Amino acid sequence: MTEAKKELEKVKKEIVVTGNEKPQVGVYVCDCGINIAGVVSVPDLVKYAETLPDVAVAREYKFFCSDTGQNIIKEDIQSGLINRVVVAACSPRMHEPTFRLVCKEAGLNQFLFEQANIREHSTWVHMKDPEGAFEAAKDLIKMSVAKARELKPLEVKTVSIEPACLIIGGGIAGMNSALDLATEGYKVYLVERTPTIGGHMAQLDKTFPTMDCSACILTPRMVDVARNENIELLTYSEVVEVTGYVGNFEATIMKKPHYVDQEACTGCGVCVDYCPVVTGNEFDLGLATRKAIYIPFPQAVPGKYTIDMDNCIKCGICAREDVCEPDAIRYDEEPEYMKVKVGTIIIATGWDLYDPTGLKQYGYGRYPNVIDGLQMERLLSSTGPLDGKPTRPSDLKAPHSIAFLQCVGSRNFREGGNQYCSRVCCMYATKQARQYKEKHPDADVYIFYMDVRAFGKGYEEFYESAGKNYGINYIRGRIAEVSEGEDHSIIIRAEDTLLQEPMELKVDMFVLSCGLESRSDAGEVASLVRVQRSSDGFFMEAHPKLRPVDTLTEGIFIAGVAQGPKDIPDSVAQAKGAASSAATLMAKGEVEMEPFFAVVRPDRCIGCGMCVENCTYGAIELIDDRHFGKIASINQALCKGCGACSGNCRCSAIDIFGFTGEQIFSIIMGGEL
Amino acid sequence: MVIEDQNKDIEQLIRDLARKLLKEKEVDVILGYTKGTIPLTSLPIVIDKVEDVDKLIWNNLCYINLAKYLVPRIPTLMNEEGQKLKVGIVSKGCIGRALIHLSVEHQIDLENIKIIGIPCNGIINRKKIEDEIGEREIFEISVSGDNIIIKGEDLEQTLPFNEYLNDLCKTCQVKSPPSIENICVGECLENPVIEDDFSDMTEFDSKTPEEKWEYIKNLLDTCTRCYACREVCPMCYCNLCFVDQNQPVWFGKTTAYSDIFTFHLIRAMHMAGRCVGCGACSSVCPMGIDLNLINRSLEKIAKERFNFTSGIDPEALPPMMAFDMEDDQEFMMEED
Ligand SMILES: Cc1cc2nc3c(=O)[nH]c(=O)nc-3n(C[C@H](O)[C@H](O)[C@H](O)COP(=O)(O)OP(=O)(O)OC[C@H]3O[C@@H](n4cnc5c(N)ncnc54)[C@H](O)[C@@H]3O)c2cc1C
Ligand code: SF4
Ligand code: SF4
Repeated sequence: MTEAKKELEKVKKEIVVTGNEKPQVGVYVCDCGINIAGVVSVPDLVKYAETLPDVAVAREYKFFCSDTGQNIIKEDIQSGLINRVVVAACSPRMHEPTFRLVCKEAGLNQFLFEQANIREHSTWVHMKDPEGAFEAAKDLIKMSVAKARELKPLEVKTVSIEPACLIIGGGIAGMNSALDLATEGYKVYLVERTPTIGGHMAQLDKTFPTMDCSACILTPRMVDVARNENIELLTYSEVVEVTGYVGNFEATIMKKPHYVDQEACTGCGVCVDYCPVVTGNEFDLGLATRKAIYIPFPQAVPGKYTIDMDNCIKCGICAREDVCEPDAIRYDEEPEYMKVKVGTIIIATGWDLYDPTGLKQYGYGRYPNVIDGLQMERLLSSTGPLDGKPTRPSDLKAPHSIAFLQCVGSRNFREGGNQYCSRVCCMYATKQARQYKEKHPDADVYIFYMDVRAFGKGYEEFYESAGKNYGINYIRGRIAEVSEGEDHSIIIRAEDTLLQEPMELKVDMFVLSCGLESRSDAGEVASLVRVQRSSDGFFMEAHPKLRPVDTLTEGIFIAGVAQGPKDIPDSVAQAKGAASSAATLMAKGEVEMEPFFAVVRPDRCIGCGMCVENCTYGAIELIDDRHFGKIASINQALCKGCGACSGNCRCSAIDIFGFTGEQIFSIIMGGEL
Repeated sequence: MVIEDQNKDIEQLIRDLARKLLKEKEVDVILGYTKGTIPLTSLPIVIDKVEDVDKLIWNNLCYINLAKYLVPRIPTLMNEEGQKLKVGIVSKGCIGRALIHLSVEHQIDLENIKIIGIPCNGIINRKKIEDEIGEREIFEISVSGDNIIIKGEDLEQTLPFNEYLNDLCKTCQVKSPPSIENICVGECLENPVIEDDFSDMTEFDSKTPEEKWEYIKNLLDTCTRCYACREVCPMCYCNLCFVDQNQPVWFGKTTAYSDIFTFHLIRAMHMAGRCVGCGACSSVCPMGIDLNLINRSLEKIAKERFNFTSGIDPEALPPMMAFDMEDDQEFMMEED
């Protein structure tokens, strides 16, 4: 063996720390450039750290996260100087993995590491109070050292991953994720709530900025999804329960009854002609009608019929032999439940349109000729209720003048509404205005805006040309209120903020460019799959910049508008990102699990069962132990380490690894026991 | 009916049922009360022979909660072969509650016991009597008519029975054990409904936090941390009580007020939604500390917040055992 190899072997050998030897803590106080050193004196913190019990060495460096910084720590570990590491620096969310790896590479168990966050918790928040910041930093270091002294080596667990993905929501985002994963060979369960996939994109006519026909680019993908062998398409279905954990989720899916045998139905549509019940069509947002037996729209996938039982009068006509030849009608169908095992989950549930009824000043719901942007989309659509020839709802005549109002329900810091920008409304209003002008070059079209946001590729050009080549009038100003004039025209009172003049305008039709909102049931979905939502109601990503498709729950990803407002290109990009993240995880075949789970001290546990019902994850059961009798037992794979059981146990019989009673207590006492 | 006649009837009921259960081999042993060796006390007794049935008594000093003798910390009643004995247990209402709650907490198997239900007519508060009599030694205490008669050296005193009852007994709504099919014999309550207005708590509840603090401080100040309250409590059955743990040492072992207070505070937390209101702790406290107030507060919160009373329904999940996202969180106060 060469000298170098020998050296390497030596380094590789794990430094054996049983946890019983005397703790030797190394404290590494980071300057973090001027982030920390600019506010408090790091050398003084180092001096302070040296006075703490069991501290073998304390050092300062500019950036401990840098290679040189990491090596300083490694050398101390390898020279046997220390067996516990405390880094006083930034948030563990940033660099805990870095320093754990340092320990690991130096041969020390990675859980003998503790990070004191003296940046976010001290020098940043107390920037204007350096003395206070110094005291806070001292305390944080003291607490971390106290905990470090109590740390015990822990082992990482690995679990295998089921190579299958559950995708909730079959809009453009969900479909794209599904296709990517299926192509890579993973099994996909695509659960869509409505009878068809396609989502909102199916309702759009053309798509900005290229103006290709939405259906023309969407429907081939829908067919691809239906044809793909690896995709199990579960339309008209909902996920009702999710248990398990990354790699091994188990989902219960409810298939709602179609009341039409989906196998038998040939989609001929004869039943529709006979069904006597006429009701509003959701797909056309109430602008057109459908029968009680229906498909949402002609290109729906799968193209099989569904009876809407809320409106069906059970007259029995569609079940007649001469109506439904294949005898597919089943009035007494019951919901079916199926369980699937998946390794990953993608949430792509999309959005709801902001409901402008509450904004009384705009007359939506009161005046027939005030409509919202999505309704306008249906009116413009060649497959829509008016075959793409928009008319006013009041008299079905083509309007001579149309005004659009931007930011309805968005960018709103006062009355009820959302504070964020919905990102698509400037563009879709411009698109719709151009489409109308194409059909009616003489019409007057106005767009009232706060400022036009044309941030995407080709968007600025699209907007520029709308004014220049199409003669669309952009008026910068907020509309104070509208009223109804003669013949149901709409009288707008506004202020042109560029000219700084009040203005009044009479138009034939008024379109509210409503924003995108999180789904009304997003909260239920969030608690079902146990992910968080941000304050705007959309599902929360693990990190807004670096982990935009992950959630904080491992193995669960988000895609499309479910994560936040975005257009189709971005939805697709994110969907592909989510699919690739899910695939990356599944390709590894197994995941490492942080060993921060609950452990029972059998000698203390009295088997009262207090913890069993308290565990939201169903991780605890009472067992009969040969030695200790009835005691709690924890399924470590299910345990999330939340500590609910530990906090509730009178006997202190449950500890959480990494947060044991002793460790927490030593933090509280700062080592002064 | 006068108290002494009630007591005779109850005693007769106990003896009749005990005799029947033993004779018919429904149970192996009877757990009940017998006369104490000093006045103002009674003793628990286990009998297994029909001949001994007359040792069983009932009087208004049967303050021990007999359910305690079934919890795991106490050696299990077993025969020579090491099999668990079937126990008939004399049960006033609060013993019944304790048994039911212990079964909810998986500590006893109701199938293995017979509840001998009796209509409890109240427990005399020893502290109140001692406050009245002072240092003088008591030789004998008995009930006659509606009075308590106390005899001692140069002492013969008559006290009105109702005034010297435990405060708990005055508000008690579960004088007999809640009935459980095939488990209860004797007098048991069918589907008890608890309608407690907690009017006994009004005075305390109307105090300011500072006044409450002062009140509790005065109440607990003399505690010697003898743990008699814990030892007698049917709900204190942990293998290793938090006060005895040393990894970590949760709090100091002294009788400094902070340590006393921490002990009682944590114990109260451990009793929340669990205390069955038998008052045994107060009855045995050598310092005469009445923990009733703390226990009633817990009972009140459990009732008002979760509509739960411990030991009534063997199927109901106690609040501390259940996880519910919909629970009120109004106690989460925003700082202004
Ligand atoms: C008027 C208007 C015009 C627009 N025009 C354009 C345009 O021209 N160009 C452009 O790029 N963008 C446009 N957009 C934006 C575009 O609509 C979105 O980017 C796109 O719909 C996002 O797709 P998605 O898959 O994320 O969501 P969605 O299309 O909303 O799809 C989500 C799917 O999930 C299903 N679902 C929801 N909840 C559940 C559940 N719990 N279980 C099962 N299934 C569920 C829904 O039924 C739906 O099928 C426009 C938006 C509006 C409002
Ligand atoms: S820590 Fe306890 S309550 Fe929390 S998940 Fe684990 S077992 Fe369940
Ligand atoms: S019995 Fe009394 S003195 Fe003893 S610990 Fe309990 S309250 Fe304190």
